[in-house]
Amino acid sequence: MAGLLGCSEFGYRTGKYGLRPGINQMLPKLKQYLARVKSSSKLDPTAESEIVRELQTHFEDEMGELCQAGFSTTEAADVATKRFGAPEALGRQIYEVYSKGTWSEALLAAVPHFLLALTFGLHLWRNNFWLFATALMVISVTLYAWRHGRPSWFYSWLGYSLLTLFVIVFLVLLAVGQGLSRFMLGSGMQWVVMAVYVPVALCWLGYIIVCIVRRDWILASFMMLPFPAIIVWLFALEQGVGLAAYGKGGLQSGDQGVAFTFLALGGAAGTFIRLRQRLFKIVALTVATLLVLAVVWRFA
Amino acid sequence: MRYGRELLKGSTDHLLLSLIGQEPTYGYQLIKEIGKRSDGYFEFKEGTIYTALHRLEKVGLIEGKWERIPNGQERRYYYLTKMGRSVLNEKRDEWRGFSAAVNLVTEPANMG
Repeated sequence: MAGLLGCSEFGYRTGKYGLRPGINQMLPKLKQYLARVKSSSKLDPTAESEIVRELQTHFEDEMGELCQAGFSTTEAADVATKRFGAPEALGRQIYEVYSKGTWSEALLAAVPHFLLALTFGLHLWRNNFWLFATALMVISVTLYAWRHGRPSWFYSWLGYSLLTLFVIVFLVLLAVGQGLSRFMLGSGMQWVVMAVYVPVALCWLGYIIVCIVRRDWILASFMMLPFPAIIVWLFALEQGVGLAAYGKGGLQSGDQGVAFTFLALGGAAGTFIRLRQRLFKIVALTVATLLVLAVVWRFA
Repeated sequence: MRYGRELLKGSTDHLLLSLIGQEPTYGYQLIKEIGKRSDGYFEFKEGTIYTALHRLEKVGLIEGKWERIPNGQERRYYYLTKMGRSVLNEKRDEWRGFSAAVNLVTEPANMG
């Protein structure tokens, strides 16, 4: 059973307190195993590094003991990974431990949607102070969660933050473009600025989405949850009374419809966080999107 | 054996809480200790122990802390929390009642 090679070439010395290798010196087989666990568990970076570090220490102990028993490094790595079980199954189990959030996390995920529902339900979108305070809150909470391990509920806020930043920069550039048109460069300058800005902003959004998809495409979908609702509402209102007329405050039932939409999205976001299984999470997002379409159909 | 596996599945939390309650310990040590004390009867896929430990930690029954061991390396030691201690006591009582009842039914002569 024992191989001809000892384990010392990889630092697995046989003494009880002998030195053990770091992750960079780990056997390729063990590194691959941990990489497969990581890709199946889809955790946030903080939890992921903690778990990988813990599993790594387990392999160090196990390899040390097997080497002491006379196994070669290759044999020891084979035995250690076999005893651990299939990496994908382990990754899935770890995912299920961490995928279900607490009630407070579910509430946190729902809050940005509810804020939008409140904004439209109480016709507060004409109140500049409310809009400023909401935007500030959304961006602050997003930054806080970004710095604290990017938990699942963070993605709910991230979608709105990106949208807020997009709109703020759009308005600023529009004003700058108008200024330039008036004083320096002739008419139409704002449209040149916009023609540059919109593709750049979309590329930037695309880059962020790709980064999130690399961790887990479901989280990217979760982040994008309000986007279809906003786009469909903009189209529906433009087709109906026209956005300009709506902007002047002429349509109360439109506000109600938008408020209902975001209430539904808030419920879906909370449900998404509370669910453990990936399949159910996908179902929650799909049902929410269909519900949004139904609400738009009913009110627009 | 399927029956044994089902029993083990239902008892994993109890076993882990009991051992951690006796002495703070880390994953590898836990696996070895369970194997040793049960004379090899309990055989886990080792990865499942870590899933169970993280599940127990998430619900607040145990708490993990990185600590340095004598060779200078770090291991994640698990401690029983106050809530974990009370759940362990409940599980222990539950198990005693259950095993006594099973014995009464299956081996009445031994119960004196």
